[in-house]
Amino acid sequence: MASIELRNVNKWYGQAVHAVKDVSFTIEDGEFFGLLGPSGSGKTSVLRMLAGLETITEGDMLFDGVSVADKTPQQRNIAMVFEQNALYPHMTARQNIAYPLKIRGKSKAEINEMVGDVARMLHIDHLIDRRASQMSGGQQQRVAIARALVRRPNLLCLDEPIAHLDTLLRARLRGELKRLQRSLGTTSVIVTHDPIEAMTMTDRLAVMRDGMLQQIGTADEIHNRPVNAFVSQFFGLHSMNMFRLSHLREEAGKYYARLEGGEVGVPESLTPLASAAGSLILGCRPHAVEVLKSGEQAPADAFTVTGKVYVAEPLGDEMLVTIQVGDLIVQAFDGRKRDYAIDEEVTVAARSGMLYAFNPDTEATTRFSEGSAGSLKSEIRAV
Amino acid sequence: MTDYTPTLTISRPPPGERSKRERATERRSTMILLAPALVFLALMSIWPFAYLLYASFTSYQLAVPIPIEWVGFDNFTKLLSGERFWSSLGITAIFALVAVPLQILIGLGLAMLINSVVRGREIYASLFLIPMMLAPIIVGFSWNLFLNPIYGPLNAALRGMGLSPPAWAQSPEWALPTVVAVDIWQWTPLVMVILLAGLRSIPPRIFEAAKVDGSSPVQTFFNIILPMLAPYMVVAFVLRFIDSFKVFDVIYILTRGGPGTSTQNLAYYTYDVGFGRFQFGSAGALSIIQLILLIVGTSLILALVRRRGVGAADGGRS
Repeated sequence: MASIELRNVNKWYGQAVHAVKDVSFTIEDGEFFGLLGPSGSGKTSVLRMLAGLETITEGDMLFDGVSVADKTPQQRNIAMVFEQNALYPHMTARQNIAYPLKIRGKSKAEINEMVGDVARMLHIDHLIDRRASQMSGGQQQRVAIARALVRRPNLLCLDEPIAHLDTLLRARLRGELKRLQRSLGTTSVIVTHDPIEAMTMTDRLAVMRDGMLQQIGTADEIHNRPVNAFVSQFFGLHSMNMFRLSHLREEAGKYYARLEGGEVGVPESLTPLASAAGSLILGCRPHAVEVLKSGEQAPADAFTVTGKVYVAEPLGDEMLVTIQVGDLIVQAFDGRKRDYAIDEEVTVAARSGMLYAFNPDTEATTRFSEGSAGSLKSEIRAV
Repeated sequence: MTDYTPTLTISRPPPGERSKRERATERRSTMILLAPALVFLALMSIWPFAYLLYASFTSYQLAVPIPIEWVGFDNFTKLLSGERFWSSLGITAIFALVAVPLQILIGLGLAMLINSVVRGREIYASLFLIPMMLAPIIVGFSWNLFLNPIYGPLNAALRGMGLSPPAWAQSPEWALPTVVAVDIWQWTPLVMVILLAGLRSIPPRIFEAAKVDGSSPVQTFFNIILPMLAPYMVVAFVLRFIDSFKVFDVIYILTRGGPGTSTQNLAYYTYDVGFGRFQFGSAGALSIIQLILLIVGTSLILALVRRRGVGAADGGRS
């Protein structure tokens, strides 16, 4: 086990691709750390540099304060679980798990004991003598995890280890991995593009985009206080609704702005956040939006937009309503589960207190929602 | 419309419902469609083989106008008691059991080498393939020129270095190693291509997993690459094993089986008996013996492989 520090790490592939740009962060000893980002964000490159499978072009990496930039994966004593298909196909599960021990020259008895322990831990003792091709994808990943854990690594690297499994299995392995990590206390890094995995499993996580670090924090911190529009849209079970307003103007004490070719009213309290040119980005999570049918009245200080219902999807306790406003898609949860007709005209309303605001030029967050503290819990319950 | 069960598949009606006439028509049209292929196969394969089998039990000789008589196993016993048969068998065995394993070894080395090349892998692979693409007759003539004791560039170079080189294909000691070397030169590329395909089929993640597991390159080679290549090596071995019985062109051009009978394998011996002495009965018997040897040899290899589990269904899959 080790604490890990990245100092201004850069990765270039050839001359043209700058995959990781000046990334620095620290992972505490025993921490479960997540690297989250869309594909091409550089998260896998960071993990592969941590594992020692890629060289660091620039910058330094320290394990327990000692630079490991020039060390092999073996010298770093890291273990890795790959996306899929990384078991040795000609070996049985037992031989796969035992392989790292075997080449380290452990005795037969020792190997048997360690393999048995880890196999029980991952509930694969009944298929220990099967080959990779005789196992399902989930079983193969369990064996891969067992192979990684059997030698008690300093750092466990997980490269989307459960991304290719079906939903139920994924949810189950998520929990198992988290419990295992907690009970073993192995410093672990997981790469994922799935915000749910990142939220549910990790202690802290880093959101990346285009090779750059966007934000580091706990799931709650990132969910409730996203640093910019990208993080707020990417992180969470449902993307944040974004309203890019322009041409803000005042008329008889009320404020109006252009949105998707139409004009919408803007609560006065938000107008100081607009740029000099009258542009402003507002955001709100689907749970903070009310859907109003025609004839219903929006609250006084609400931001309202009118559009047509694109589709309404019942999700058990709630209804997820997708509304089209010009080319813009707005999603809202309706706790009352009313019926909606296709193309029915509705108004979405968000109290100004529930709105986030972003700088229209830098997209940095300029105002956080006041009522979002509880929304993470309610969103997770919804799925 | 009672007892109607809807089905999702459109199937033919059950056999009982089809009339006999309908089935007869179908069988007839099947036969008509298959007939050209069957006739061709019978004329080109089955009949010649049957004739060969028949001839091997007769005294069929083209040169001497004696009536063809059934002689039973005479041809076989005569051959098996002759010294020339056993020496030819020994030469064939050297091709099958020395040249072929060497081809596999060198082919494996070349495949590993080319697989490790990052840029221009295809170019190197194609260059190495040239020997295999040449007609055997051209290979023979090229080597004949190259190895010529007086005018050949190889001996000129060796003499230039102050050595006194042998006459290669014409020397009693060097003739066999020479033809074996040419065979290896010509057919190693085939093995290389097969093993290269095998190597390329191993997902790169496997190598990374091995690296992370702390496996050294040597350990990775013996514990992971070699077992995963085993099915491909078996394919290459069986193909080359069968071909090794048929080596003829290069021997014909380089040594004519000589000096003496030192490079005469079973194929050349068969040719000599059949078209040198026109003893078609004996030549037929020789062919049959080779066929039996091939069948037994290949079955043995495959049985051995099956028992050891190499190349089992999951060998190449991941």
